[in-house]
Amino acid sequence: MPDSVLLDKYRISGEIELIGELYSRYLHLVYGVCLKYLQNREDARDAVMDIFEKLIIEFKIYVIRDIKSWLYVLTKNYCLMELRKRQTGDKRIRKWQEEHPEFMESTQELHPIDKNDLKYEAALEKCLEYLTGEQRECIRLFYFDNKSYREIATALMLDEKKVKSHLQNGKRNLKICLEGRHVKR
Amino acid sequence: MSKDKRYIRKDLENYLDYTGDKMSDRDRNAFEKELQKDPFASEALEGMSMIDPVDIASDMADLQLRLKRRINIRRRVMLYRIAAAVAILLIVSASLLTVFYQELGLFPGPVATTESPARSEEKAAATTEEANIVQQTAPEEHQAAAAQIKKDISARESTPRTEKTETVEKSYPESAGEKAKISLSVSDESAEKIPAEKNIEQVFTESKTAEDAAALKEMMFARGEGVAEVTTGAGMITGVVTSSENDAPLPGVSISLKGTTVSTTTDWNGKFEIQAAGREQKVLIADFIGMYQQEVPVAENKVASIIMEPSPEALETVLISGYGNNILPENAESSKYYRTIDKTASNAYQPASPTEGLRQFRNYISGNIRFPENTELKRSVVVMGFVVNLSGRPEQFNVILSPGAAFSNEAIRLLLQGPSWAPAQKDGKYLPEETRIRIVFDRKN
Repeated sequence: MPDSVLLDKYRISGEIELIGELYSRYLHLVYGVCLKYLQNREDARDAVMDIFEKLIIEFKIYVIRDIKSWLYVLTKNYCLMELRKRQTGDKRIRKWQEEHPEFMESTQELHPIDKNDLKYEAALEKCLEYLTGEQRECIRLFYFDNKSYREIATALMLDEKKVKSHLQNGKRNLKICLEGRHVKR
Repeated sequence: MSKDKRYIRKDLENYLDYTGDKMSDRDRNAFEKELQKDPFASEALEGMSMIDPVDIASDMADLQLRLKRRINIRRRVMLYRIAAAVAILLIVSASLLTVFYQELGLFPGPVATTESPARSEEKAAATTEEANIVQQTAPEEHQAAAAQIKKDISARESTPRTEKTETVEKSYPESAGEKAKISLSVSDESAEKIPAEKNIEQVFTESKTAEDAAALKEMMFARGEGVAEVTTGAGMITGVVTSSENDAPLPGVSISLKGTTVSTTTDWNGKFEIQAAGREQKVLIADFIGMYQQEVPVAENKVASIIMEPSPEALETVLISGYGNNILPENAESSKYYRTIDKTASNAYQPASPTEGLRQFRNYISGNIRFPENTELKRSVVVMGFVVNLSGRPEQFNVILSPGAAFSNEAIRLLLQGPSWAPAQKDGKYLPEETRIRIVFDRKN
């Protein structure tokens, strides 16, 4: 049963089992994100259960189109609130705020390079030239040569985290470049 | 739906394979590309890579269990609300009907009557008159209805009954302390049977037909509470304890009567018998290593059915408990008392413990455990009782729970060859009590 059907059924019947079914599909993702922010297993597990309580109520109130991304935002917000509650000067919050200046942002559209769409191929090739050396290398190895983060890290003698951030920044720059080209046309 | 579950498991496995480094680099790249598209997944993976995949898997199992439990509670609450609403509706309509028919003088057989529990066998045949008693302590708004019923009963006393009767029992939650109860028999075949009782045991003693028994039993199982069933000797409570993991009987479970020192343990078939004569409080406490402690209210002369559920600590490879068979605390209320006790107090009870500490001992077990060969089993639990002697060695092994000899032998080997123990103590003296250890055998180990 698709998510949306389950949700509709729940809204009509109020049967909590349906929400349980729906939630268990994303349980590992919610748990993983909680683990990332709360930094320990017990808190993360409790958070997963607390978020379920919220769902029971919120699923009744809101009409949700994209359940997964909605759940993502809800999970992150929950974790942020939890961290705030703990201590304002907590290192983890500062870390969070550095990483997520606008965390409420809803899901953006897929990056052109992730779409695997051939019509961007030529434009992508052109734009790649504008990237810095390491960003370009990372994107080439990852998207064109299908290398894993780990392999790229070894090949370029970089930290895996560095590889990820090169991919992130490279993609952002690519997007800016691609959009610029579209405007010109 | 099962396809769905398989998909979820597969999805989780991908994460575990990834963080556990069990993927080829091609697969890693494919997985990473998916993560690039999905910030939710990629953050979740970041979180998951912080801890061991085995821990993730056990946490996920724990969460699924908690979720299941949570859902059941909610559903029960719903059930009660619906049951209460329907019951009130039925009673109101029944009394209205009674009034209506009487005024018209068209009374078609017995509309309302109550039954004495002892006579219910005969009632099943439903042919003759019954003794009618209305227990009546209902709140005012229901007084009228009850009085009306009483009138009807006397009016109909001599009328032979041929209709099939259904019983509706209802207690009014408003009348808090005194359990107000009206029992109605309505000559409506479609009338639903709704026991909207807070205290099910109480209804149970009063509804004796096979149908009622089955319905109530079912409901009580749904509530996950003890089931009172069959009568035995005076003041004795007997019962069965099973595990929710595999529905199998659970031997060696400590059963105590709340607020007393009376206690016992279950036998190989999970059965127990406990003396509870003259006790006001009849709440049993069931305790077993690695399971949630349960408190189950029971009635005297009843069979209690207790279902134990694994607690999160059951996910640990090794658990040790000093709550022995032969030595019982002054107040059997909680075995946790012993675990949290201040160890510096010289007269305090101290359970036996590995001299190097639990953490070291766990490492020893995980490092040396051998999963028995020639078995299909994947994850198995052994609970072993033993006594630590004065020289700090485990002896007098007592298999409490085990899937087979190969497993129990391995557990004994681990204990015999393992590090030494500090024996249990009480009042500064050596205490030869049974210590329990629970070891999880996992093929992965």
